[in-house]
Amino acid sequence: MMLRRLHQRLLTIMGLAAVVAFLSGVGIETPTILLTTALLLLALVWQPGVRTHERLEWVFRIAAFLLMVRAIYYMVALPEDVVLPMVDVLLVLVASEALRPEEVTAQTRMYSLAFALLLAASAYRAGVAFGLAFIVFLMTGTITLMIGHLLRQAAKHRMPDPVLERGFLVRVALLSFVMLFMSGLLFVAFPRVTRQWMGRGVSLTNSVIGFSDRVSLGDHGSRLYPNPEVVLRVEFASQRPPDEALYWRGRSYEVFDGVAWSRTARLYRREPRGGFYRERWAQPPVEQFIYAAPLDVNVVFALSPVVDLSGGNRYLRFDRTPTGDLFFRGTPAPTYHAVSLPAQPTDEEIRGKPAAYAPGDSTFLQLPALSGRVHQLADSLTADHQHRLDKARAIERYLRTQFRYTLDLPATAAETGLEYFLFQRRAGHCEYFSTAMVILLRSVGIPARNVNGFLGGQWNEFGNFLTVTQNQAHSWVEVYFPDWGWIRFDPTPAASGGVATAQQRFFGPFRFLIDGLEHRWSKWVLEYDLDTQTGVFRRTAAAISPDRAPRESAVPPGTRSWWLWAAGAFVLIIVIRTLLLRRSTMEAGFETRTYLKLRRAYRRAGFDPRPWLPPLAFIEQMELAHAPGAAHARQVVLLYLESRFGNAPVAKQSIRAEAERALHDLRRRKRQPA
Amino acid sequence: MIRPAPDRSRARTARVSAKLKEWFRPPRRLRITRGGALLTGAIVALGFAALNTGNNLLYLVLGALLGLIMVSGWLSEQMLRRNQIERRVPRAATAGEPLRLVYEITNHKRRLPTLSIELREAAFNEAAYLQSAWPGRSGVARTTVTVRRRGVYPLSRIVLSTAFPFGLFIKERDIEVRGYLVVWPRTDRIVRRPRLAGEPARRTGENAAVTAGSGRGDYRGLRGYVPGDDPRDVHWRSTARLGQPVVREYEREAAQALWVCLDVRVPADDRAEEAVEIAAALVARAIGEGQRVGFASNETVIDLGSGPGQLERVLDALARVRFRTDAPPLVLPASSEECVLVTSAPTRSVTCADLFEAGGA
Repeated sequence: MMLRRLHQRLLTIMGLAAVVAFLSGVGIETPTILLTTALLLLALVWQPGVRTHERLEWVFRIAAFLLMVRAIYYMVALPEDVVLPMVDVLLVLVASEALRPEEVTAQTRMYSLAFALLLAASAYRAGVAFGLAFIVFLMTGTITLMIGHLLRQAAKHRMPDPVLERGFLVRVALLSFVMLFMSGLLFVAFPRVTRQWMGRGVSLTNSVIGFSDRVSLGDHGSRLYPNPEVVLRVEFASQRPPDEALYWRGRSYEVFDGVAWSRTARLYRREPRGGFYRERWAQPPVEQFIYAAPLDVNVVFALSPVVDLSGGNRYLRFDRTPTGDLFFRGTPAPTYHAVSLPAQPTDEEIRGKPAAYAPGDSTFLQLPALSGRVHQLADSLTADHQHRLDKARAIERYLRTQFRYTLDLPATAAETGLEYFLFQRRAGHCEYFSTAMVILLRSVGIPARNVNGFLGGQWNEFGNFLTVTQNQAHSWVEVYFPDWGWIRFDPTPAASGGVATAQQRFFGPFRFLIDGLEHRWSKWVLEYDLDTQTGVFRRTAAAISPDRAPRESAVPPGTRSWWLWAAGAFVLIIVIRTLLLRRSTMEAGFETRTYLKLRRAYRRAGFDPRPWLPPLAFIEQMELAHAPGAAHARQVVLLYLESRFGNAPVAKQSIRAEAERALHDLRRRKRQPA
Repeated sequence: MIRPAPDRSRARTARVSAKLKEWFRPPRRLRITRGGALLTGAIVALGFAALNTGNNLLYLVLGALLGLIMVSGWLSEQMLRRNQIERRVPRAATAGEPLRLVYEITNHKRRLPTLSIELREAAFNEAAYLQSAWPGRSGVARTTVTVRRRGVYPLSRIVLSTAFPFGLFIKERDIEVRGYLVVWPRTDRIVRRPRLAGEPARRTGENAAVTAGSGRGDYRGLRGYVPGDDPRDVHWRSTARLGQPVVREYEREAAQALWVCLDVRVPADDRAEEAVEIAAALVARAIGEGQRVGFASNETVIDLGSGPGQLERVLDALARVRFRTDAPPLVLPASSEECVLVTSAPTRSVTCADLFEAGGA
């Protein structure tokens, strides 16, 4: 029964691994997943009796039938996501298979069900949990398949269940590493010449607020809750984040109607492009490799202004709106390479050029209906300054120092207005501040716009990348200077913008590790394509022949050492194992060595004139000649023969003891009684 | 013009083709099971899907499945190697009755056990199953086969096959273990009693008055011991004196000697086999009743004897009988009154006290 129980438990673990793999890709989309997981965990510790199982079978069959009907309905009537309803059926079947009692041996179904679940999981953009679940699935699957085969054979030949030693099971489990190795080898080496994976449906993207076409300030009633979901993972070419504050620009908004920001498609003046900034801003550019998580808005986030943007893979397309926002299409989670100039010109540089008053574009001067108080406030703040920059700085300083930052939303709808914020409440979140500054600037005739994006990030030492999460969402202001382009201002108090600002306390070191693994998984497994592949091959070739200098590749170096370390560890393991094996063969030679030592001693003492005699003949000679210690020598020879040719394990002690006694007698020249 | 007999040339072609088949027989043969076919189909489908969609996770799964096949191939090969197989055949079996073949498999591997292999004789269809043989130890596999016809069957090739480890592919190899199997003819055929000369007279009269316990008749004398004789009949004094075993002989036994003669100079067909069975049945019944029976064919003579040992000797000889028309003519070993002829084609050259014709009445 033991083997059967083990088999059933391993089957359940296989099912669990498949469910976990699916969870890592989809998340908890349907309640069936939770139910199945609970049932599988139950199956690990409890087995129903045969009669209970029959009744349970009926329940499962009805449930599977109903879900099947639902799946067909989805397929026919709503052709959206067909996979999830089918997977529900699969999950119910998996649960029913796991709860079989041991006597019922219809085991092969679980293999295909769990495998189908794993395949379904691979259709989604799964995280690193898929990799771990995959490894567990392989290891348990190998042993389970083998045990199941043995059990089926025993039943077929009407024999009792076999009894397997645990060492053997462990060795078979280790064989699954061969499968893993093949897996990895095929993964790395198989040429990716076809289309990049297009990803699955929209339902699996994370929703992010603040980047749709219309963003409103009308939320009230509770609090803004921070959301630690990852939005971006950024690697820098310099392997370190820049020192200045990192503003990840998303979208800008031009039109404010008193409640909400929205966009306009019309523009009179052409938006300055990358080249414009490259000429005028002297600071060095920063290269970023951005791995974006799937979101429900296709906004390209990067440090602004972006002077160059190239897609990480071949089928990603970028679009640029007239206001300079960048969008992508083609894949839900793009990887791209951006070059930006995050360091703005200094205030002195800007003041150096007079801000020419260009009466041109009124888009960025649009104002909603406002009371006179707002205009008065703006005038009072900016009256003392002539240069546009100073005026902007004054308003920024005013908002920063006189107001309070809070995540609490206004209590009622009436309190959500901008003027209430400016004059009564004097506290709010970043959107209020940026809106206020834009309105104040526009009311004194300075073109400005509201920008939504993310601020800062958390540097992950484990992976050398920066993680930007949703709770770093931020709004700031861009003000137009004719000779410099759009300059950034941030009126929100307590926003330092540097790396690891005060909001990020959700990351402990464990989450660092997990996040680093997720990043690596995303970069090396999910995003593995032809370019990465050629890069890998080139680097492997360079590592093998180090005199050839590796060519520059787009992905930052430093990963080459990984391969060498892994290969070195592998070789070391092989060497150690061989040495251990060698020791065991040396141990087997102990009997031989003892026997030979004995014979040599007798020969030197003159009792063995014919050294070519085989062992038993030698003993006969000794006994006939009444050699000292012959009886013990006989024992030694018998033990030697038994262990060397008789496949019987002989303790070293016994041979050694007898040999010592024989040699002792020989030395003492004790003659045997005639 | 001399033409080779048609059956001879056909036999030669059969031999040559068998030799060729033997030569071209690959050392390892692979068959695919249903599970294996499913897996291969899954791999092909996965390969297509991975190529088409470019989904990297599918490449992972595909590689794992290929690794599974590799592991399966290596493990099944290890199962078939370094096994020493010893076949134990019963001394003799009877046609039509199940006979048990036992195989002892010694595993000479250092670390891996031999698990789940099937052993099948090339001559038979039934397979013996070895569940496990741990490294350095041996295991036993048994099977029961039934042979329909008597004869001496050479056993040479054993086919080892295993579906280990996953039941996806069945790998086979051949092992030469020479031996042979002797199958005796059936002895339960219903035959009438042989009518020997003078016997009916002995059934009545004086023998009916024989006292109980001495149903064997008067003491006749001593004779040399023939294996199969009852050891209680051994006369120990004479044995000690002569240095060889000597038994007491009684009238009844001395008189009741039956020679069964089988004519093999007949074509080998079903009627000849029937003749063999008739002879076997006669001998078996006679020995069962305590009679002394001898057997004679054109090439073999087995002297009179009794007991189970004699039965075995006769059945052994009957098992090895070969019918051919160019055999030397049958010579009666004793007077024709004690002989009973069993043949499928009676001729006039040999006459015995009684004739059993196979295929006839």
